[in-house]
Amino acid sequence: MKKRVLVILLVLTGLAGVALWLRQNYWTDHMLRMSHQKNLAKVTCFNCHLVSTDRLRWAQPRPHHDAPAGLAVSPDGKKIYIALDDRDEVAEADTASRQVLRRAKVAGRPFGLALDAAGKNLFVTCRDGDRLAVLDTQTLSETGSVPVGMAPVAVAFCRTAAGDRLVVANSMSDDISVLSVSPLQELGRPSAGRDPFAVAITPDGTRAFIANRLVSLATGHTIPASEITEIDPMTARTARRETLDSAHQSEGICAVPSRPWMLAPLVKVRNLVPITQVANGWVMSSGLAVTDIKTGNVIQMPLDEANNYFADPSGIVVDPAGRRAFVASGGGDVVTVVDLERLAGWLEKADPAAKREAVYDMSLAPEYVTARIPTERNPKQLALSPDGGTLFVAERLADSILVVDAKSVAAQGRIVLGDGGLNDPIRRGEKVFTKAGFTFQNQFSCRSCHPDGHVDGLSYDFDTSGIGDNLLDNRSLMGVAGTEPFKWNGKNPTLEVQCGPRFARVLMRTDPIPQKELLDLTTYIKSLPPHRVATRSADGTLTPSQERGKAIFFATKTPGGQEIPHERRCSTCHRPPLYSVRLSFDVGTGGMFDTPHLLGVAASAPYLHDGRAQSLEELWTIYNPNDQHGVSSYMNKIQLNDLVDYLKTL
Amino acid sequence: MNVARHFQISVIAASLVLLAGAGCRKPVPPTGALVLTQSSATAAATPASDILDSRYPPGSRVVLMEAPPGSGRVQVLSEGLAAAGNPVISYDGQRVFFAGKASAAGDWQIYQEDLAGGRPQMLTAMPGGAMSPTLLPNGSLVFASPVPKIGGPNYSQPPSALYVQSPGGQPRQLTFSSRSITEPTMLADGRILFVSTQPPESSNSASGPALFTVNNDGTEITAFASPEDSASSIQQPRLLADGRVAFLISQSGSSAAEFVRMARPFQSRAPLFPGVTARVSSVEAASNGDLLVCAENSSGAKASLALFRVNSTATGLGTPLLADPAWNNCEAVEVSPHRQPMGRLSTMDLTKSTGKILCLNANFSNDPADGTTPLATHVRVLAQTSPGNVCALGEVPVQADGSFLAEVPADMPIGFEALDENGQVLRREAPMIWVRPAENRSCIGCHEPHNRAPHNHRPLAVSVPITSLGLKNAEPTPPKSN
Amino acid sequence: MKTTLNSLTLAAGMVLLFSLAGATGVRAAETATNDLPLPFPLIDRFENFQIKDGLPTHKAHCVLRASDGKLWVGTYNGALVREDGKFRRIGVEDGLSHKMVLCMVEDKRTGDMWIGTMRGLNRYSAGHITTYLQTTSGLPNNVIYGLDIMDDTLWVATAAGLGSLNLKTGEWAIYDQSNTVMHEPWVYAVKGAKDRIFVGVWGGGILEYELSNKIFKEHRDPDRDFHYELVHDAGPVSDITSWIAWEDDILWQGTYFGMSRYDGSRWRTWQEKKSPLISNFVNFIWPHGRVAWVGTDRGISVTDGNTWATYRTNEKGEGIVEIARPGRPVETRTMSTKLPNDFVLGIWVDDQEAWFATSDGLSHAIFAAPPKPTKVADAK
Repeated sequence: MKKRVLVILLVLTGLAGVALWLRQNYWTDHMLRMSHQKNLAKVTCFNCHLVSTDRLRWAQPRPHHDAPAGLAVSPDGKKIYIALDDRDEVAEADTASRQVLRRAKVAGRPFGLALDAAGKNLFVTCRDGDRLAVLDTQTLSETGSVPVGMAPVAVAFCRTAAGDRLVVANSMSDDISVLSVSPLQELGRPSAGRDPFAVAITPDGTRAFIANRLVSLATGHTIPASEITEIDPMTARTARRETLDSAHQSEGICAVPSRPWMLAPLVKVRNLVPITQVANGWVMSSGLAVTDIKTGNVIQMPLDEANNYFADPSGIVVDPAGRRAFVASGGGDVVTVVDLERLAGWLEKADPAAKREAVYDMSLAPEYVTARIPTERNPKQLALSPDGGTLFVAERLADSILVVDAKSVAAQGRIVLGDGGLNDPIRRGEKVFTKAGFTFQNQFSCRSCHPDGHVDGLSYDFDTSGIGDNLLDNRSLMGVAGTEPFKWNGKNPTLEVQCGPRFARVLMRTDPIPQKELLDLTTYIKSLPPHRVATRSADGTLTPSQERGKAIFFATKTPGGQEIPHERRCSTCHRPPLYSVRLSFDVGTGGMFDTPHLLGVAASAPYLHDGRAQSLEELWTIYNPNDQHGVSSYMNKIQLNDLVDYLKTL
Repeated sequence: MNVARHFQISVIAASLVLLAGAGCRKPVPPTGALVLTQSSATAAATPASDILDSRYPPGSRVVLMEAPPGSGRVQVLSEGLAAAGNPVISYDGQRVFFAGKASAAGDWQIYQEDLAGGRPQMLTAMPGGAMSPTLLPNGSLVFASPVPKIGGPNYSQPPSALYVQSPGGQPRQLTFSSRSITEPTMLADGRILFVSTQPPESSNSASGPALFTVNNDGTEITAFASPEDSASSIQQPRLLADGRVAFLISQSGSSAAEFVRMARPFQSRAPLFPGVTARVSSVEAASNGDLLVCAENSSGAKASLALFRVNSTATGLGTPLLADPAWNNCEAVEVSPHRQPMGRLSTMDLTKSTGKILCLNANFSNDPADGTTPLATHVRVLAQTSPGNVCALGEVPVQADGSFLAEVPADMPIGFEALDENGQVLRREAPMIWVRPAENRSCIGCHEPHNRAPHNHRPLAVSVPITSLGLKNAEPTPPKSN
Repeated sequence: MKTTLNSLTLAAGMVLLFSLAGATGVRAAETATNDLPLPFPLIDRFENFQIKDGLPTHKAHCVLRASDGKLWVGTYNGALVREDGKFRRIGVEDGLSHKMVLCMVEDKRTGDMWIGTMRGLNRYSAGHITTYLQTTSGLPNNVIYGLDIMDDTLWVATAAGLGSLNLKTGEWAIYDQSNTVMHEPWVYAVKGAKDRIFVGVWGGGILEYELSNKIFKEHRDPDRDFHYELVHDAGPVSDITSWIAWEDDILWQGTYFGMSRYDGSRWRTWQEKKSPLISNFVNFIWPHGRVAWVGTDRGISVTDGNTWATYRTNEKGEGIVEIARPGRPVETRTMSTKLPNDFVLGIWVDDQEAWFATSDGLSHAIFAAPPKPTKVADAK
């Protein structure tokens, strides 16, 4: 017995010695050579090896919830239709009893809803299916389907002199599908701004207004701007584009009966101003774009208060008399009631300078905001009964529809769709993510800069050690699981640290998120899969251009046979499956930066640590003069295009 | 010893432990109890040397009054103190903090006491005294010191400032104004709201008391609200549950309770009780949104301060809850747990001795402009090194877009003079703001309209080397030239 | 004898009769021929716009009337839109990538105007400009010589190859000498033609790209001599293609050494002096139906391949039109107005009017009323 133990001990000692020898003589050298790091303190085998996306949170099955998206109320006011995108269902509920009557399966993540004039057909945009489905409201069964652009999220029905039309906002292809209803076919595809998200038709049916969520790609110091796109639904031609300076995140748009107005909630952002404080709307504030339908002039009006904010404005509806507008604040858990007559009265008296400066006056909103209706978590889409008497509020993260008496603005009850997901840490984390209450004066939530967990396309000047020297590109949170460390300088080892005290100190300007909520938050973030890829085929095969690009990505030699140094190969730093070895490198842009992962990279422009590159091409055509960010100087334009085509499939 | 015996001993021991624990467990203050300040309504007035002496004459006491007020038990919490007042309840509803003085000749200091029983425990030992306690959510005490003397600014005594003191720790100064700062109270967003006076030397601003806010580390001094007419004093600002901030304002010899709304504090000043002419001495928020109001009540032979509980929308006071002709009752607060304000992690670095000030546009001003006002090309930065002594630290260039960026000494009053190209002073702000160590402070303009958000543009000043101004090169302030 | 005289008299009378008839007929034919309508309208007069009329520069490079009726002009100094009788300029300050506008094409489905410049491609949509550069997108090269839109694809002729942009997916593709039969990268023109694309390559003749099977084929000058045409009507007149255009199943090629026409099976070529084509130096061709309006360095030639009309300035400085009918001497008419400059770079024509972009201004051509048919009684 003792001899056996002795032998085992001797063998183990021997193995340990071998391992030590290997470490000293081989592994260290291997890690230095392969990682190109001077300090191996943060380098492990797992930077390059045994990395799998299968075990990541976003690759695991997750619970689904009855989160309401789009709403549509029947012309007689008796029924309300609710898109349940997480369930691939559309629900029909009775507005009087507030009971769900039926549910229908609609594949492809139904999101936006619209009814035809008679209420016989329900049009459903399927966000993942890239299609518009038609449901017969009597049978609640699908009777038609037509392909539209990518990720359609909103649809509006209108009557034109040339027939009935549907106008669809395609959020991922940045365009608008204009369809005839009978026959159901696409007539035209005019371009929108970036991330078109909501559609409204003027009362006379001659114009469709589309609100776009994101700013057009801008360089760091350019004033960012989103747009409201106007098209003619009869001809599918673009009529006008209104610019919203330093404003974005418009998720709703609505016409005002009896006034030549189109209203769209917005977020007024101050990304170029060093974030030395949050008070006085220093980072962002909510507002309302009032567009004159005749002239296209836009006036931005504030919706927040001097010492309190109502973050993440989303859906908007206006009552049939055009007297009041209701605006959902997804981060503030209220619906703001705007008296449009008082607003009009102020506009009438204001001179041009006052109108230009209005949105900066944080004390102005009480002139026309008459109430804030409290809701459960994350109110998003709104709908009004045709008589304007009842307001329906989709409480997205509570799995319910709040029913409000629109006249008294008193809550009457709820249509309960689900259990709210309290037992699901991902759902709880999403509630933290969307809650503005963790920031100073409730000014913004995590979602404010990361809509859908993604990017807003802006670079922000975080106040750290100096002022004005820290413009940082806002990175997507989609697919970040397993890609620690975080922060462009790689200093935050985990998401818990990234979202913890430092974040509270420099941005939230409050206490840190409590530990339990913090864990739920990071669970949610880790559950976010990489952004959907536009150009990869369903079966994963690559086009010839993408194949050539892949070869360039993994190349160890130039086409001329010259060896590409190991540290300058794309695949060295951007190693699959995450396309990041999660170490910091100097790519010639002014410092050592953590290697971002490339999953979904096509959708997360701009690029580089300060967002200086508006497109992937620029990474190499403008910002790689010395081949530090990979050897690219040998490439001709076709080769560069091929590489970019491949990157867009990741 | 057999098993049964073991069992018996264990049961007895457990019972003893339970009983002992029960005895050691502090009794919860009774529901509906109030803590308030009482001072004799019949005693002759005595001369007061400081403002607390005048508010709380000798014999003033802080009491715990069980419900219903007037017929429940009254426990003097400030037992043993010559005078006491200004009670504040901790967020867990277990303790009370108040100002008191151990003897008539002594200084006012801050005391704390367990509401379940105990003796007042002195927390501060500030030269010149301490007053107006309030509490940060982390349990730290904020107070003002020294207690202002009666008769206006006294250069032999420094102006009152706010201090913070963590439990068991030493007081650290939070504010560094050249003007007296008093009456701190907490806002729900974590800021400290207080009263200070605007200096008459500032151009185009009414002098007199006004409300300001500061973060819990003394950063971001900001104007909150100010009466446009001149008032002699503002006292006891208090955040109410409905988003109003109530306060007592004295002007032209009379005082009244007024409020401003958090939503637009500079444009919403109004009387709290429009129909009330009686003098209001305190307004405190109750847990259900009601207001606990102490005001003059003339029901007895002699008027005394009575306690009223009113609905937040009430315009009148109604019937008093407690009216005792022998006592003036004021500053009644509910004994109950209440929501604590938001906390905040400090951005300060105490190893640094400077902070930075970024102005986005020195030419953006509320001053009436007729279009001929020249543009500022430089800004002279002033500092008050000691009471009455102001020096010029130097000048910082204003960029083409009006922005400037300066590094200035921390923790001292700083002021500005906007200069045109000829050195003429266009606008002046007397030294009354400050930056904390490593604070990066921004402003939109120079005397800009209040509650304005900035335009979104990259200030040119951040692209040029920062101008560092220190005391080494300071010069006495030049004669005023405007 | 009597019989012979009678026969002679009859014969003479018949000769006389036929001669008279013939002469009258010739005269009648001559009269009738000159009055016969041409296969294309004649220009009655020119209304010219130059710097004094609001143009920002001398040189106009291209012109077109958009589907909403507005006139667009590409110039050396920006793009112009004619509104309310005035020219509104769109320049670099409005977001245009470069002031020198070389070509334009309208996406009639949306009303967007694609503008090719010396440095980059621009999409002008309801007043908003989106710019594509070779450094910021998949555009092959910043020098944009020609544009066309067919279905959902924008075709871009650049100095370094042909580019295509899928307007729905945003995907770019580049075709140049490395992946096609193209011999030179300078693509001067591109035109969609139903199921195929024609590409004009300077130094490379014409490429024809079948979209369905993605095959390129070349049409090259058969004699490979770009100066002279040694073999007529056998292929493109020259490989130095300066422009191509296509309409109604007819492909037209402009070169610096003449002009060609291709109907899918047969080629026809023309050079100056050997044909009514006014100059070998062809800048631009605009087909309207089966009639080509040809802009050269010495005026405009209009032809259906058989009948020609050429507008130019004569040695006296007068504007003239030279009408060449088959088998007839050229008829020259003096016009009361003339082109502002004979160097014509761009043309736009429809049934009502024509516009010409020249080296010194823009010209609006007003068509003459068609001539009344000759009365039969005159011939008698």
